[in-house]
Amino acid sequence: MIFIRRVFAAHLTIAITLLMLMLGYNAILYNLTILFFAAALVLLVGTYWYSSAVQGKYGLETTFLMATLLADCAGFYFYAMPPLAALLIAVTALGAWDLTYFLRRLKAAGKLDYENQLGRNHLRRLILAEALGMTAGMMAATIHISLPFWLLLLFIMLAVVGVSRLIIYVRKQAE
Amino acid sequence: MSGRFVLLGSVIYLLFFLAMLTINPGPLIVAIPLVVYLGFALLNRPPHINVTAQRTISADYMTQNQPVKVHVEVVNNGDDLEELTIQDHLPEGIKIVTGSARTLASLLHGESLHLEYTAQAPRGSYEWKEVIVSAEDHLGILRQEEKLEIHSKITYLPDIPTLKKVAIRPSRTHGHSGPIPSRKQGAGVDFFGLREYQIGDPRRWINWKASERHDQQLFVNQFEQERIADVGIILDARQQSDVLSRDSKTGKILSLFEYSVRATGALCNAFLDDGNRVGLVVYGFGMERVFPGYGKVQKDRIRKALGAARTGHNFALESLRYLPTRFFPAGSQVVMVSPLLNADLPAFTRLRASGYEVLVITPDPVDFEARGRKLYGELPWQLAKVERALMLHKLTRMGVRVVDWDVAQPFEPLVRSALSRAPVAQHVVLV
Repeated sequence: MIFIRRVFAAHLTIAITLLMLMLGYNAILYNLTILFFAAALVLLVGTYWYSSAVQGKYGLETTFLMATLLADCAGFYFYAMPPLAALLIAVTALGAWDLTYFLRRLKAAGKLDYENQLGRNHLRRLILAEALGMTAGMMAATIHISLPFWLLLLFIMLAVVGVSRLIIYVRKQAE
Repeated sequence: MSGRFVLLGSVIYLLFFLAMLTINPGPLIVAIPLVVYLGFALLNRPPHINVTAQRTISADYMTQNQPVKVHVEVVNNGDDLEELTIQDHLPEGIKIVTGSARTLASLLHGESLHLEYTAQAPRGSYEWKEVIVSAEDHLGILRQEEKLEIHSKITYLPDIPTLKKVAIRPSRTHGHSGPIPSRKQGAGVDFFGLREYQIGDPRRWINWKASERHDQQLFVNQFEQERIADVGIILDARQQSDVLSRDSKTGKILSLFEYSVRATGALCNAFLDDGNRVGLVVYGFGMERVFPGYGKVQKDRIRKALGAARTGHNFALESLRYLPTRFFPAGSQVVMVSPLLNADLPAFTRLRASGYEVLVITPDPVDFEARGRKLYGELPWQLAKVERALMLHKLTRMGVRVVDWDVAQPFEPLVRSALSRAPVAQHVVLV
């Protein structure tokens, strides 16, 4: 569990540090003091997330993930945030969220003889998902194809419908 | 499907709409790792669960608060399960001492997993009903759950104190010799009366003092036969007569019923040790009966019945009106263990009129509750005490032997001082 906790801490540190750096950089660039406060708030959220996970208090990790992703999107929209940094923040925040849940499951299960094997399997899958996500995200950020608005809208609608169908399918399978 | 799946789906939706709303690719790019993560979970979704489980408990009966070992074996008969959570659903009141009732493991086809833990509980009957098995993908997004119905039961028996002797004097006794004065002349130890000397009487029976007072006449002592008797014990398990109170030192919730159970067990053992025939009725939600019997086997039966006894409410059995008096042989000793309610008095009148000798052991609910609520010595406590004293006085007037027990004091010395001598024989009018 110690190793998993370290990986979790690393994920969280990367996400929070990058977010704070971006906010600080934009604060200096645009001379906006409020962004310094936002950076302090991000640090506070990150610290609280880590300390609550270490103490075994769970339940807030989803709120923290949402907050991080929204801050990431806001940075993208309002300020100059490089896509690589935004992606890295999203991926590491997602990883931290996943590992918080995994730590919770491990803790609930008590002392396990095969904890290391479970941990290794989990990390292998997570890192693979993160790497694929990162690559796909980078490709999306670098490849620029100009599409007319209606085609863009169509693609987005298709994606929305696809995800909806997927959820319905999974729900049916579960039933 | 777990809540995490729905949540991730919602976040992806939100990011899509944010992208559309702002006409900015940023949220879409942020959403891509999430979509990949979700897709990865879907590709590795858990297969259908096909497992069997078996639970073994080291004992069917155990003294209260003693640990028992519980062993659960789960065998996977289906496809490989990457992450399987197994949780043995514990009955309410059971506490785990060592080990865990939950585990997380990978279980391949044909493999088995063993879950072991030690549990303990206070007196009562506990039933395990199910083992919950849930399989998840490695990322914990998709979940399949199955509840396996496996019933196991354990009864925690009460810890019963030992009583030396409880002296009773029922109006009828059995033919076998025992410790109870039978009100009949015969071979015994206690003085019963005098009669004129007859040829064949042993010389040591001659009462010389009485013989001196009469000329040419000799008198011999008669002794009282000592026999065994029928004893019927009634444990009051009505919810309305039970009192719950918080212990001021430990903060634990205590039940007056637990004291009644221990007292009942101690009395049963004492009567059975004397060779009497003892029966038990637990009067509460229903009427649990242990038919009259003798010896160690009966002791064991009663202990098991007391282990499973619990308070409950039944509108039909709200008062003691429906006490099954015919359950106990006529003229036998009836022992009632109850905190008593004011409405219970007519039942005792009926018992006395039916010819039973009645002994009431009554754990004091007033002191018990007052101690928990810190009302000891206050006006409400005084009023309740007066009311209770009046009720107990009425019972005594009916010819009922009453032992008022403050449960803060141990039961054994109280019984030694109040019940070690047989009461004076009473004349009972049989109706």
